[in-house]
Amino acid sequence: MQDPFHAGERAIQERVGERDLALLNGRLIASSIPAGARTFPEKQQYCAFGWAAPNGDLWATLLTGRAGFAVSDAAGSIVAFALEDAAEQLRDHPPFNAMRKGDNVGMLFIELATRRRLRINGAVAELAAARMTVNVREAYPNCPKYIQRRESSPSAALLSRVKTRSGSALTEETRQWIRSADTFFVASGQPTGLVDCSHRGGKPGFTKLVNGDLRIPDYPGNSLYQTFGNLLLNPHAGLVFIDFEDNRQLQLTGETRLELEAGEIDGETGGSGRWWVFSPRNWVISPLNVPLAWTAGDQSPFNP
Amino acid sequence: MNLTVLAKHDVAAETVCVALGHTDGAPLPPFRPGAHIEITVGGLMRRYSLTSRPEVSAAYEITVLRVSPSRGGSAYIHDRLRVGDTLDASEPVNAFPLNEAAAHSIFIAGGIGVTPFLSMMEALTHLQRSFECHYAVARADRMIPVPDHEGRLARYVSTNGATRLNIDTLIQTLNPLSDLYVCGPTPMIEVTRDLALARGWARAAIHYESFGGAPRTEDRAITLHLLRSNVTFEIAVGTSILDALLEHDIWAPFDCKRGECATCVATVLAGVVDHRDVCLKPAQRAQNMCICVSWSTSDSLTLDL
Repeated sequence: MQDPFHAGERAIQERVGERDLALLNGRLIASSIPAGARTFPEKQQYCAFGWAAPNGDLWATLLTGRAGFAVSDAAGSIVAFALEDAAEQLRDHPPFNAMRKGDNVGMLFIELATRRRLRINGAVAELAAARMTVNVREAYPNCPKYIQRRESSPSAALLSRVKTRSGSALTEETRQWIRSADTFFVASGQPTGLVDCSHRGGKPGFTKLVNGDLRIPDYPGNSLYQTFGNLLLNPHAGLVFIDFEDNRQLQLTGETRLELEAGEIDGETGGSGRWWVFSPRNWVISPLNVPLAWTAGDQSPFNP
Repeated sequence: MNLTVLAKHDVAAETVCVALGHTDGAPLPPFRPGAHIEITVGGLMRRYSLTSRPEVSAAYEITVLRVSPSRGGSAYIHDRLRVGDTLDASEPVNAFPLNEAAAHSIFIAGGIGVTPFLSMMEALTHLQRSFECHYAVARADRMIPVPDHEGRLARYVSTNGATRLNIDTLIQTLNPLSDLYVCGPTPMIEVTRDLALARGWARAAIHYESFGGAPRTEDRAITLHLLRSNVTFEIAVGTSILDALLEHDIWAPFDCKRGECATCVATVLAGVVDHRDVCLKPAQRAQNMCICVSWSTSDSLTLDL
């Protein structure tokens, strides 16, 4: 059986005893978007991106648009994005302030309304003012657990008035934002420069703040350990929290530490006993490029 | 890899054992206790536990019950597959691993669900580990030959009151510090798991493997309506809801296709679901279903997709 995993992923899979499950589930990793999923991107209004800055910092962001802003070609090997910039600040923050042709990106199409996910990794093939294309390197479905349901629709009136600003130490505003979140996206990367973008969700408050660090439970998942596998080899990570009320995002970059055998109190990890700790170094607050009217639905029935 | 049917013979009523290997006797990749292979028969991919001894590398054996109604795999193997035919097979996959370090292991098998336990019991015997197996069948003539392992095997037949397996009674006599393995029909797995949890078993010490979405005789075709996609189509018995979606170019993530991972879970808006997964809790089933294995007892079903 072919092994689609790198050394970090394999090490975690073996350490937690889920290597066979990973190989079984990893068979769905394909070198292009599966036929049944090629019309999925064009129905989406947002896509989470992971990207590594030239200095090695990882950043995650949520790119938004109207349905049709992202389109796969018929072969599932190229995804084209329209970079609409209603807030006119898309180039003021990572990744689009410094992204270049050839950069690796990890993309997560996630339909919060139906909890369907599609992961696509690739490299930027073209980058212009209002358009970007990505050559697909790998694509695979992802499990829908821990996704808090949200409907969305474009709404120009909801454009955030926030001006892009940044800092290093967390402020009371950013701490409160993190403490109340039920959803964030995480970018992680291999030493080779390849990047993944993944979703984390739970009940509001599932991300703890401990001495200025974020402590996050690792709920049981698909056994692939792509994020953890990357973090084992390269501790840099980028997180993005979304303010669904005001169409703003809080991006954090920093370093991580894995706690694979920390154990569990009160079922907080859903039985895994695993946590990870993220030490933020820099943060950026910016408006989402295209505002959406978000309506929260039910919480994931899988939340611990 | 391409394997050739080296032998095929009946081992019980409606049950055949098929030996697969290379015609030149070249050794096959080794496998772990409880492993299965995926073979493609008549254009369908099917998974079967390896029932041969792991130390025999010249052939893999699988033991296949004719299921009715068949999804196509077992009927093809029983009626069409001949010695000398070649078919495409995967390398062994170990999705049902054995904890060889357990102080004591208990196997509970329903019908053809005994198959993954054959290699597990061989391995534990070799390691001189303690174990017991409870093997229940619906019909005595479908009982396949299973080594007795010096009295560690108990056999039960549902139609014979004297030796019927009562899982509730059995679980009460077992030590919850053992590792518990159960393989069989979905309701049997659920009952065993729930009783074991209630008796104090740790979730991690309960291992199970289901048959997946085998259709049942009472199943009827359903009309599926997808609210967001705004499409409606009929699904015949024998095609899973997930496969029907994918055939209609509706994207739905999936993984195991056996109701074990919850990747394909979808929200149900209308209709009555016959849940056949082994992964969702009652609260999760209230509004959701695993579309890879579960079916509907109402004529129509509406999903939020």
